[in-house]
Amino acid sequence: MKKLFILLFCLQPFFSQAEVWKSEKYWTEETSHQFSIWMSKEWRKDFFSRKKLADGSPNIFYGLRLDCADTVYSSKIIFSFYHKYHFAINDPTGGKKLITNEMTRWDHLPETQRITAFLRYIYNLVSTKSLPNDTYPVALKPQSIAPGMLILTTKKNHHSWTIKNIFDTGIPHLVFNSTVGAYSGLNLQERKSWPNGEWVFEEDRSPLGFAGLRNWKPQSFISEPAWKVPGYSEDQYQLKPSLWKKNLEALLKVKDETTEAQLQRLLENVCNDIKQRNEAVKEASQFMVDNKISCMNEADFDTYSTPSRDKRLADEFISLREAYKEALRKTELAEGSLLFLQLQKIFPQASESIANESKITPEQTLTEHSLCNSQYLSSIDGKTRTIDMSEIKRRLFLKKLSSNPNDPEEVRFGEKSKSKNSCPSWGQLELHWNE
Amino acid sequence: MSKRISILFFLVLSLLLFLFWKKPPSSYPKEPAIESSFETKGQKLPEPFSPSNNRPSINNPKKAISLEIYKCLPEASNIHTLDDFYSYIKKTESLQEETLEEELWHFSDNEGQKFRAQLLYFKDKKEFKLFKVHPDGLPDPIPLNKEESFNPSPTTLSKYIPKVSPVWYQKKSTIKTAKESLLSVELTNSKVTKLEYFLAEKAIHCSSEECFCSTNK
Repeated sequence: MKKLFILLFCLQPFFSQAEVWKSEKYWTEETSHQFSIWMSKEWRKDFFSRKKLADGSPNIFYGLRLDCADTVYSSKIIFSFYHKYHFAINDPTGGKKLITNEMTRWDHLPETQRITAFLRYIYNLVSTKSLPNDTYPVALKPQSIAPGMLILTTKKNHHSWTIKNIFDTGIPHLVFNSTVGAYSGLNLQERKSWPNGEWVFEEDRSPLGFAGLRNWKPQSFISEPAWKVPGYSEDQYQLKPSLWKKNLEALLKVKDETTEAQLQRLLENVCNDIKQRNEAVKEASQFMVDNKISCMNEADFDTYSTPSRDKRLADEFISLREAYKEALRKTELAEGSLLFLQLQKIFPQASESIANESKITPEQTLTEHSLCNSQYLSSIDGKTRTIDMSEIKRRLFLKKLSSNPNDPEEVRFGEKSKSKNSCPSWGQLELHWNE
Repeated sequence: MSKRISILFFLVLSLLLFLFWKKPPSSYPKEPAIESSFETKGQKLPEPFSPSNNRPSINNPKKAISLEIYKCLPEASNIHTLDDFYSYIKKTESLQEETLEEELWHFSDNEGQKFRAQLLYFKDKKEFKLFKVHPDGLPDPIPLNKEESFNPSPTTLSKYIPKVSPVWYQKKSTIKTAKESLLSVELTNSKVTKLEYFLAEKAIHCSSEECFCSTNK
C-alpha cells in the first residue's frame, strides 16, 4: 500500500494539467448581456490599484500594468474568469491555434496566480493591431451598443477605450489607459463623454481603418473575418467623423441632460485629463532623474511624450467651451452662480475663437474661482508653481505646453525654456485642433 | 505478491483513464438569469441576432467567389480565385499608395526549434516582436531590448529573421487606388489569402474560400 501511494505521488506531476481556469460554458452573443451588467457594476478606475476588494479579500489583480489594448482585453478575460466562461482570441502571431483559458503552461501555480500570469502573457501579445481580429464594428442602433464594447481609433492614434456604462442621457462612461512606463501609476483613466470622432477616425474613415465602436466576436465566429459575423455593420463609416459623437448621443439618449449636469460632467472630464497629463509629465521627469539621462532614446521618447494626451485635453476644453457658449446663448446658466463664475474665468472671451481668447487673456492667477490646480517644479529656481485650469487652457491654446518629455517640467507646463533643448525628438508634437 | 501487483496495475490504469478521459464541453452554455437592476435605465440590451442566411454556399468555392464578385462587378467575369481577383484589380485600377500594416515570419533554427517574428506598422513607428513556439503550439515572447523592438533597424531584422527559406511569410497591407477605392490584401507566401475591396457604393470581402458582395443602401 505504501508503495502504491509513493508511485501515485511520483506520477502525479506528469498528469497535472491545470488550465488557467476551468470554463463551464462558451461565450456567445447572449453573454453580452451579462458582460454589460458586470462592466457597469464592477469595472472601475482602481480595478488594478486597489489592494483589497470591498469584502476585504485581497485583489489578485493588484499591481498589473496595462496599456490601452491590455485594458480592453483584460475586461473580457477577467469577466470570463469570474464567470467561468471559455475565453479565446486569435493568435496575433499568425498561428492557427487559438489562445484560450485552456492553456496549461502555468499549471504549477495556484489559480489566482495562473490568471495573472495569463494576463501578463496576453499583454505581451496583443495591441490595438490585434483588436480588429477579435472584434467587429457594430451598427448604429441602440440595441447594438452596450457596456462591454470598445472604441478603437485608426492606427494614426492607436488608442482604445472600454465602455463601462452608458447613461440614459446617451453619454458613456469610458475606462481606459494610455502608454505606460515603469513609473506609471496603477490607476486606469476615465472620461464621461464620447471621444472626438475626427480623432477616432483620423486619416481613415473607411472600414479598413477598423475605427469606431466594436463588439467582441462570438466564440463560433472567432476565427472568421469580421465581415462574416452577424451584426457586422459599416454604418459608422458612412458618417462624417465630425458627426459621429453627436449621432451616438442622440441615438442612445432617452432623457435630456440638464445644462448644469452637462457642464459639471465636462469640467470633470477636463480636470481628469489635466491630472492624467500632470502624472505623465512627472513620470517622465522621474524617469530622467532615476536613469541619470539628459536625453531619452526614441523608444522612451515614444512612451513618455504626450501629444495624444494633449490633443485629447484640447478636445475636452473645446467640448466644454461649446457647451458653455450654448448655455449662455440659451440663458440656461445663472449669471453670478458659482458655476458661471468658474467657467467665465476659464473662457473670459467666449465669443472669440479659443486661440484668440487665449492670446488676449492675461496670465491667470489663482482665485476663489480656480479649478483643478496643477503643481510643477521649476528647474530655474527650484520652486513649486501652482496654476489653475484657466491658465492651463490659456497656455495650451497658445501652444506653450510641451509634449516633449526631454523638456524640464516648467517647459512642459508652458514656461519659457532657460536653454535650448538639444535632444533629438520624434513624431508630430505640435498641437492642432478643430473648433 | 502478484495479487498486489495486479491491484496496483488496475489502480494505475484506472487513474490514467480518469485523468485522460476528457468530457467534451457543453456546446450550449446555460445563461444565468439576468439581474433586473440594470443601472442604465432605459438602455436597451443588445438583441440576440441570428446568423445571416444570404451568404452563398461554399460547397463550390470557386463558383461562389465568381458569383459574388460578379454581383458587385458585372464587368469582372471568370474570376475564380483571390489571386485572379487581385490581378484583375491591378489591371483595371492604378494602385497608388501601398501601406504596410504587418509582416509575420515563421521559421525554425538548425535544431528544429520554431520561431515567429512580427513587425507591426503604425503611423509613426514600427514594433518588432520575437517569439519561440512553445510545445503547446502557441507563441512564447522573447524579450528584446528597446532599441531592437522599437523601430528596428534592418540589421536587427536580419539578425533574427533568416534570409534562407523555408520561411512562412505573411504580409498585410492597405492600398489606395487612383479612383479612390481602397484595398486590403493579405498575402501568405505570395498567395492572396484575404482581400477586401471597397468601392464607392459597394464592397467585396474575400477570405480564402469565399467572397461576399455588400452594397451601401
